[in-house]
Amino acid sequence: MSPSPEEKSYAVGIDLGTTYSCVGVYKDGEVQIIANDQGNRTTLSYVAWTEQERLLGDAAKNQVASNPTNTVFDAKRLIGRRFDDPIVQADLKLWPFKVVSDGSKDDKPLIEVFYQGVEKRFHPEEISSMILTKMKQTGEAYLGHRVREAVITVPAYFNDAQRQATKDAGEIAGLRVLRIVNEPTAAAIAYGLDKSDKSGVAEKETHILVFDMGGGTFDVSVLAIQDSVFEVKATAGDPHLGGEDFDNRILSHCIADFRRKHQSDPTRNQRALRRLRTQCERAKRLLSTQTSVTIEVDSLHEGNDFSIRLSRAKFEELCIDYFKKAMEPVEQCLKDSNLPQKAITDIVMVGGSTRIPKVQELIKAFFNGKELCKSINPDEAVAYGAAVQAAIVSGQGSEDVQNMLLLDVAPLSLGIETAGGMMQVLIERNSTVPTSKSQDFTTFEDYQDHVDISVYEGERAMVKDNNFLGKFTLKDIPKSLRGVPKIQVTFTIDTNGILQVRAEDAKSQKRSEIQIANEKGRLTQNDIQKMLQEAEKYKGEDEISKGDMLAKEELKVYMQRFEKGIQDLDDTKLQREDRERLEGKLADAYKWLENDGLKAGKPEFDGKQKELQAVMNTVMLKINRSQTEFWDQQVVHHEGEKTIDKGGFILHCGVDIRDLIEDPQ
Amino acid sequence: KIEGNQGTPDEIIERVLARPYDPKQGQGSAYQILQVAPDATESEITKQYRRLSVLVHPDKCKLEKAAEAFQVIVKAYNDTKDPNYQDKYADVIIEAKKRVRKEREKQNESREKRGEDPLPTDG
Repeated sequence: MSPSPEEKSYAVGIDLGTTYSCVGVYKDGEVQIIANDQGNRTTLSYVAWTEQERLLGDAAKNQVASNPTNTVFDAKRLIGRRFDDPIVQADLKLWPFKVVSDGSKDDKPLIEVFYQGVEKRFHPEEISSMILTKMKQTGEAYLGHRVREAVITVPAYFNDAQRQATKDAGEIAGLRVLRIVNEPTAAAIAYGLDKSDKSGVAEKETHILVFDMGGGTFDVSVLAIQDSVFEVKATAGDPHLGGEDFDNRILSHCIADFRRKHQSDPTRNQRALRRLRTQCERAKRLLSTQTSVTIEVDSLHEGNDFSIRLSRAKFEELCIDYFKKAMEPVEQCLKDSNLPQKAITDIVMVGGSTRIPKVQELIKAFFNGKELCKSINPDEAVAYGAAVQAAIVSGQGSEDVQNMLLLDVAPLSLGIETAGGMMQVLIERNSTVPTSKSQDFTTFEDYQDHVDISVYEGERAMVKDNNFLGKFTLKDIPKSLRGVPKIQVTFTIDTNGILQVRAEDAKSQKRSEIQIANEKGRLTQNDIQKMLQEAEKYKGEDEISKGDMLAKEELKVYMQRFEKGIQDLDDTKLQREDRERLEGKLADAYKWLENDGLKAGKPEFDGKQKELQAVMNTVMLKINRSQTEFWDQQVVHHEGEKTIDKGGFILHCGVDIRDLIEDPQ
Repeated sequence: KIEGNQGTPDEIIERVLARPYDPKQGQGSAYQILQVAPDATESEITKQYRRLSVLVHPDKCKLEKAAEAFQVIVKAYNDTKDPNYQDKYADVIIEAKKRVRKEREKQNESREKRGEDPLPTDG
């Protein structure tokens, strides 16, 4: 599909991260990582609602300390999960914003904020879509064209529901999601292109391990690269492990210290927590380059200042269990790939948390002191790869990109529940996608006329230990003795890693199918449509609010000119009562701006400005009248004067003699 | 050992899907699907698998049956790496050899009656 030149549109690659997001585009034979309106190449995954407007990205984070309960982040930690998920329940305690259940049987989480005095609830998909909208706009501002299509990345270890929900978020943002790509795979493309630039395309097969630890998720993938084919051999990870967990450990450490020093507990003070957390994150970053830092917050809680010295060793001690936990997927992934450790030619480090010296040290030790590859930018590599994949899939790239191929895998085994609560695996983990597999099942009882098919993902033998994805029923099976009917169940995973299940009774040809995540926590097509409209409304609101801000600024500028104008007029020209009238009006306007002005929109601001202009004009007219009357008679009318139909005159070569005299006085 | 010309995506898809591939039912050969000799090395097979993938992976090939053909190729590739499949292949050979021997023994019986020299049975 090639777009016509007049409506040229680009497909971008978006790394939708837990804490930061990044957008790139493949253009003129290379990838451009696009800076946002603040000049930053990564954008904070934050959305905030203030009294007046919705803020996205960096602007949202900047006001977090003063507005903690209406500033939402970490949507990626909620997306595709149930409210009663223990991970969600644990995270809840750390978030300053409120998360509630939607009360349905799906138990979807909703984020609650106050906006313009009204309580508003959002699905995590909607929050993610707002961030995606921001990234889309960033792309459009750079390209000067509409962006309609995107490749969005997800952690390789994201499950089916989380992938579906991410895809939905893209749709709510008005993007056609060309592909959901695994983050480590995208990073591997960036690595592969970087390598082939330096040493040409490798004929020989090489194996790399991508270690991707970001703000909230952790992935490990082993890939084989040969002739610009990137084949994922195995993947493993933890969808809930990253920099934020380390921040939380430092935060708890600080709170304990504060309690001990001041005998007071700041944990209920959201503003204090937020300010402290910001400093904890800063300290963590600094500890990657220096060996100790001071965390300082003035007047943190009940007027008490807080200060603590944190050494790198102490930080490592606080988080060592997390760091060690991160080595398990590395071992698992290597084992699944059936490769000996020494077959790995490069270890590619991606994601901000791979800057932590202890993390590097542990993985280096795991590979017997092998040097790590740090030649690619850990913050941008994923978006870079996503941009390349966008070019591959949309057919926009140059020849070398068109020759590239990504062979990715499904991260988790998928199967159905059989008698006794056993998991019958249909698709093994690390199967190359797209893939499909059919298996025949039969009835358990005599004259059974329907079967329930429950779908699970995970590696355990009993379904109760695995993750339930959904359930559907195949009805009206012709009645017969148990074991006679033949029911064929087919699992299909598409290139996005999204599962579709179909069941068919061989005899009656009765069919039943589901896109599985529809059942579990997923938004329906209706929901998506509704949210899309909502998002459009917001876009409108954002623009209106932009207009409001402009009008307000204009009014302020006018008021300053107004003030200066009064000062400039001396008493000979301006009568005292007029001066008082003008000054009174101005004071009123200032007062109005401070109070009502907070909720006012463009019409009100414009109205106020007109009001001031009118007062000023009448006064000025009065001042000028005497002079005006005199000077009006001095206008020289030349012969070219002509009447026009509606009355009045057009002066063809009239000259106002006031212009000829330097000083009318 | 790798056949140089794989053909166009069209031809590959047609060839791969021409017959059902299900080695458990004794249908089709992984080596034929991949167009490699049964004694090709693992790296030769892998290389050929990737060449075919570039041509028929649904990202690259917009033909309707591309995904289906790609899945067969993946399955065949995985089967070549599966030691059980190799055994199964060997089984087929042993079966065939047994059949030949039985056949020969039968023939030899009649040859003996006619007073002719027996044929070798360990062929």
